[in-house]
Amino acid sequence: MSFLRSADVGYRRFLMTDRILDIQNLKTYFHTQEGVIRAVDGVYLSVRRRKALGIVGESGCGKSITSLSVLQVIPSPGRIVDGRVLFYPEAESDRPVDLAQLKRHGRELRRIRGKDISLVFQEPMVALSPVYTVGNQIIEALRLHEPHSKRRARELAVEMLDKVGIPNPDVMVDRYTFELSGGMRQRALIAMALVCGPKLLIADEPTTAIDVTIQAQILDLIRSLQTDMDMSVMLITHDLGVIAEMVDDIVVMYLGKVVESGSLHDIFDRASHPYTVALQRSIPRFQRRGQPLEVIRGNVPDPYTRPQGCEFAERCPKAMNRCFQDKPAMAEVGDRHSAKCFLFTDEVESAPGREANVR
Amino acid sequence: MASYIVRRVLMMIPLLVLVSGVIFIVIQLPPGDYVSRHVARLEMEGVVTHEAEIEALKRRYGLDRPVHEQYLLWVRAMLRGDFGYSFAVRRPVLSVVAERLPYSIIISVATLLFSWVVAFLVGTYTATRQYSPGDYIASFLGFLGLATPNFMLALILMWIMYSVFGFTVGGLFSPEYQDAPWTMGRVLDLLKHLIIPVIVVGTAGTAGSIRILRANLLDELNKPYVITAEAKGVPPFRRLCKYPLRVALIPFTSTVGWELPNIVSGETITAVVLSLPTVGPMLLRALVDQDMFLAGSLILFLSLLTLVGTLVSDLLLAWLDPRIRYDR
Amino acid sequence: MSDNVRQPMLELINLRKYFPVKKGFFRRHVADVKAVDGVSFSLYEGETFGLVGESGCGKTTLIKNIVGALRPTSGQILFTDAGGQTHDIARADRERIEAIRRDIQMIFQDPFSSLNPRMTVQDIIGEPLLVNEGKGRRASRARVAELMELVGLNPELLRRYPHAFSGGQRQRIGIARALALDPKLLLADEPTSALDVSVQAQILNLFMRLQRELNLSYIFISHDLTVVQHISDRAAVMYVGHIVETAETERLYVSPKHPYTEALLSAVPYPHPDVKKKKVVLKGGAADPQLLPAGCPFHPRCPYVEALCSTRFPSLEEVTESQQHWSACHYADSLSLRGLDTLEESAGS
Ligand SMILES: Nc1ncnc2c1ncn2[C@@H]1O[C@H](COP(=O)(O)OP(=O)(O)OP(=O)(O)O)[C@@H](O)[C@H]1O
Ligand SMILES: Nc1ncnc2c1ncn2[C@@H]1O[C@H](COP(=O)(O)OP(=O)(O)OP(=O)(O)O)[C@@H](O)[C@H]1O
Ligand SMILES: [Mg+2]
Ligand SMILES: [Mg+2]
Repeated sequence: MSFLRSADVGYRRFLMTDRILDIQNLKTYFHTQEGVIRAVDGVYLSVRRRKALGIVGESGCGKSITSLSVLQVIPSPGRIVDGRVLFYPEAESDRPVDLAQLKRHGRELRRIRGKDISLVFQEPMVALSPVYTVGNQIIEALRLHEPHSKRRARELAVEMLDKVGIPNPDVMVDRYTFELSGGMRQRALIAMALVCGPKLLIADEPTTAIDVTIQAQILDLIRSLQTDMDMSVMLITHDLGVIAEMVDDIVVMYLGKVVESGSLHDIFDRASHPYTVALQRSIPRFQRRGQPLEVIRGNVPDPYTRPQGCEFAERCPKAMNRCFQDKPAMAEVGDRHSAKCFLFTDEVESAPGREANVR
Repeated sequence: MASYIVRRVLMMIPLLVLVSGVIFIVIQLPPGDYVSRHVARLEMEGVVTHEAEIEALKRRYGLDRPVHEQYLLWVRAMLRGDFGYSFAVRRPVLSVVAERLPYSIIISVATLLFSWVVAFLVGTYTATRQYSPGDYIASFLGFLGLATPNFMLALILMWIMYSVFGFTVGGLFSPEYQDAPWTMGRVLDLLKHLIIPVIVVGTAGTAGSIRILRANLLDELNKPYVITAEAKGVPPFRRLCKYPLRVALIPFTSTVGWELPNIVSGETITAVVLSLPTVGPMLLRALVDQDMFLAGSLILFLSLLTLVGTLVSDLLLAWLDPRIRYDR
Repeated sequence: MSDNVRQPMLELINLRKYFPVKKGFFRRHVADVKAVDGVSFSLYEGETFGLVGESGCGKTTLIKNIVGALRPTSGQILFTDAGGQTHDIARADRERIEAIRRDIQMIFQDPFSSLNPRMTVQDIIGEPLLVNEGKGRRASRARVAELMELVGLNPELLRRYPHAFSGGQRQRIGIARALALDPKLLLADEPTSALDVSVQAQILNLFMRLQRELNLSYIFISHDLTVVQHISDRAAVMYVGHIVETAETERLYVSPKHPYTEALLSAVPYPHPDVKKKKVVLKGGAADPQLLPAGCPFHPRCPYVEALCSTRFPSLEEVTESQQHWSACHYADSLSLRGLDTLEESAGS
């Protein structure tokens, strides 16, 4: 019996489908005076252990709110209204912690924040407090979770700053954020997130304010930590180049929902959903200087109203009649590759909870 | 930080010079010099003055010298503790001021502390519990406080104190302590009498401060750096104090400088209603009487108080906000 | 394309901006952060000049000098307005700068702190109209709606506050505000780094369309070399306060003449998983403008460093074999550096 179970675990390892994070039907809404903003509206995604998941999608589609929901650090008046955020700290065979069920201000969640799961926030210019030194904030993160002496913590902070490519780290550790350029702040922020050696790093646009050579350095660092420290990564970025270099799996979001998910190659070579296809066409390429780029027509609809049919129908070059009436279900288009589009299925999106789990 | 403090304190010297210069001009403004005016007044009252006496007076105040020398003489005299002579009260200015200024300072400082503590607690509470019943109640009381004239509030409170607690207010001491030496009992009596003036004078300022702090804190609460702190596992109370509150206190603190003169001028009417022995009513009378030495000295002391207030607020600011310390 | 009789609309001559570092009780001036250290270039009407370089190399400082938000330490910034008058912004008084500011607008790097959280989108975008043309809310509403549409925002949202928008939407608000006064020159500091690729494409198209229609000129800063390549006619690479290479964009990307440019180009991630480029890995961290080495500022990290590099400062010289191509490397003529074509060939795509 026990033999069988361990064999089972081994087999799962072999398949490498051991997940560290599994988000099911996550809904995070903002109840404002003007109406309800469904920022995240039924997201399914999972991050495999030691692997990197990339999230791409249009600005405002709910990527950041999804990532903030994992740790329940959503700005008010946002609230998780439904769904599960299952976290498997050691192995998927363990009982998961449903992070969405923990109390927002409770101790249990606090122990996970910054230690098991850490977050690199999108806006580096304002994500660090202006009235404390960089070192103070990194040391605080460290000492909240590990019982280091102040001196030792400082040494570790300096070490981390050095690792993320900040020059003169022993001087910079005592600088305030307003003394640093945008790129430096971003690196300091990354250093703070990595200082406790998290099992899962959620990085929201971690390299937007950084030049390419330092970006390469930081991406290298994240990758090496992934193997050395068994870290898993959830990476949000607009830069498909970074995605291509960094991740194993990709989730494409549109208007608070996942519209396509699959492996890196699935998405780059066999993009199925018309939105994913359009997204790829809009990247500037080296050979086509000065020519207009292909754009997706129209704009993201306003956040208070949701179309009756498929969210993307209005802007979709392949929209059919029924796209304006019904919402398509998530359909398998390949092995572990699915898309939410009537081109691949006739099924209509089912009641919440019964949607195909993307694996 | 130490060098910032020293620089900031040294900066007060030119300011003091400037203020004293302005006050000197104010004293000089009325036509004729004050000795002649004094003499004229004395003569009107039928007192005979001797030429020699007048000359002595004029020499004493350097009225026969050029203006800038007069100024220097005036400053030098003040540095020696000679603030001139109040012709209206017929006593040296210093003794008049010394009698009243301490009470003014006590009331001002007590009011400021009261206003700070209340504004800090209520502001923080209402911002963190936005739209809760407590928030609404505090806002309502705040509006009421802003809208009620001070003298009215004073009368209402006096009436309440009298009819509910059977406690006569007015003045700073009960009759039995009026001229008693300083004992514990006298201090307690003073504190008891301070309650109403402090509430009356401080209410409007407190209500304003609450609104400032609440608005700033609400702004800060959802800032990304606060979310970053939460995401790294900082406990809620510590997070509130260390991150948004500290930043929200910055604009709050910078109001201290102008809060002090507000308190002093706000106190004047209250002092009349409550018959408090403070400088407010006296300044008023000195100005009406053209008792320029007294008025000038009082204004000088009040300016000094303001300068000290801004000094304190600047030092607090520098401690709160490194950007100020670093001249950015 | 740049015929010789054309007068540049903007000419920078040996521009320097030092930030003093003060220490101790008397705030003694102990050193300088040489954020911009002798930069010269010119910009012609209707042209886009791209600026790339490491974080902290002084790009933002440079354009803040042009817009008059910082006063240069030395050097000239000659701006020729529509009437053909040339002003030196470096020496202009406050009033003159206010006037010139209508023509030169800046789009900020950081959409979060550059938008006042207590103003509605309508008021933010309409503010320049109010300040400069005295147009009230009612009068400017149509223009604001038009501007919002232009940058891809739903005009119905004009009464919302910035916090209710995502990062990308906020950046579009900033762009709309900058366009409100029909400027001649836009200084765009990483205007698209917060945008997703599809909106970035719209914005880049918008930039290009506006340029054609309104004959705008741009100085365009971005970390994304593909974006700079796409939109600029000419580009310059900066390294700790200096321009180390400048040329027509294509020439710069295809045959770089400075080792730093080569390293930058090699580090651009290619948007396809099968393309694994060989990166030039630079030694050491970013340079600190306060502690510059002697000689060439790049030499401690340069893979091709020679003895001369640590002793002599290389000035920006025209490369012999390639016209209108300037490099600040002693060995610009002899090194054979890899540009983009060779990079993509070796990737086999
Ligand atoms: N504090 C807030 N109040 C109200 N609505 C909000 C708030 N924060 C975000 N939203 C809404 O939630 C939606 C999702 O926002 P989110 O920040 O997750 O987008 P995103 O995908 O991260 O975009 P970007 O790529 O621009 O960062 C947006 O439509 C936005 O308007
Ligand atoms: N007000 C200031 N006082 C002192 N130093 C400053 C100031 N502003 C900028 N610096 C320094 O000048 C240098 C150039 O900064 P700048 O912001 O121009 O860089 P940048 O090229 O725009 O960087 P990034 O790409 O990260 O935005 C940096 O080393 C920075 O630390
Ligand atoms: Mg985001
Ligand atoms: Mg910059």
